[in-house]
Amino acid sequence: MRRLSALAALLLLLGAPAGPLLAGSREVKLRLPLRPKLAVTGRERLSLAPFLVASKLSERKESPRVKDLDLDLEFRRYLGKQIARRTKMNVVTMPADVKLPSTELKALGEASAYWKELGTRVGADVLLSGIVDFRVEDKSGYKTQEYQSPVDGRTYYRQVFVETTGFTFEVTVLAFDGRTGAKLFQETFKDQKEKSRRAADEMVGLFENLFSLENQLLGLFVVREREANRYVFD
Amino acid sequence: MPSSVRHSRRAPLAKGLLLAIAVSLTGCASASRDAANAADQKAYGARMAEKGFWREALFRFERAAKLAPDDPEVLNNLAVACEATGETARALAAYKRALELRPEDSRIKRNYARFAEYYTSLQRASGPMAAPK
Repeated sequence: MRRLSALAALLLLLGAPAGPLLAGSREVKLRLPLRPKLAVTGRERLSLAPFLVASKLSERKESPRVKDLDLDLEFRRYLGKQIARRTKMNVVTMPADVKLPSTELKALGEASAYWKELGTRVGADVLLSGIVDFRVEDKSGYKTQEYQSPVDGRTYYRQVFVETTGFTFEVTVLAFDGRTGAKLFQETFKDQKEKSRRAADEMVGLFENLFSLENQLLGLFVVREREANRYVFD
Repeated sequence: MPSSVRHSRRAPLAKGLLLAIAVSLTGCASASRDAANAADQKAYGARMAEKGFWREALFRFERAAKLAPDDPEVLNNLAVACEATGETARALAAYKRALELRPEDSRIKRNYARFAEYYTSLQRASGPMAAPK
């Protein structure tokens, strides 16, 4: 009897330190707010000035459809629509005759007098501009593929030609204070996609890139949320 | 001296001793009751947290922390609830204290590491952030 009780006491003693480590816990989900890059109240008047188009500046071999595409106009239309729909900001229409003071991003960032004047003219608190680039690249090539021989059932490797098209969209956004012309921030976003067929549509590729960047771009102006997991003890 | 007189002289001593024992027993009972209450609050708060009712969870963990201020599990839960309700500075303090009390716990360490990543990104975003005048 004594031996039994001693054994029980020993087991209790051994188990005691493990208690806290084995204590019950559960994983919970929480939504954490992410602050916008630009400290705005959310009700500012915002206007989208023209963006420089990098593809026009370089002499890349683009497909005819991409060459015909007005990338600046498409991007501004898309961004303006998203801002108007998903934020409380007031998107002010930019007059069509507005011309950028330079074709260099650095010079654009330094032209505070120009941005001040433009801000006063359109009555915007925040002005956006920058540079956009969209590239369609042929990424086709030989790739190693595994296959099982129907003759002997063994696994072999063979080289196969895979037709792939790559779509790269890159945008650098500059934000200016419409009243002072001062540069508020500069941020670059990039997205790359690959499509298996060589004949993949360029316009679809462009919008797939834009959809991927949508949350990041809107994160400049609005509070976003991200889901996170944590442990809580019972 | 008659024995009854001797008895009456010892009586206050005995009474005092009994009172001391009673007080200490009451203290023990009160401490164990506090611990049990803290555990109840913690468990209820954890259930609320799982359902996403973070305000209620925070309230429960705060009550638990008042009853058991040095319980690392309560402090961890309090930190998570603070984080969920946007009280990041308070969450940081609670995580640190929980880790001080139980530095080897992998769950607290993991929570803290994830929080630290979020907290740093939040601080960075608020640092050079520009605002239109």
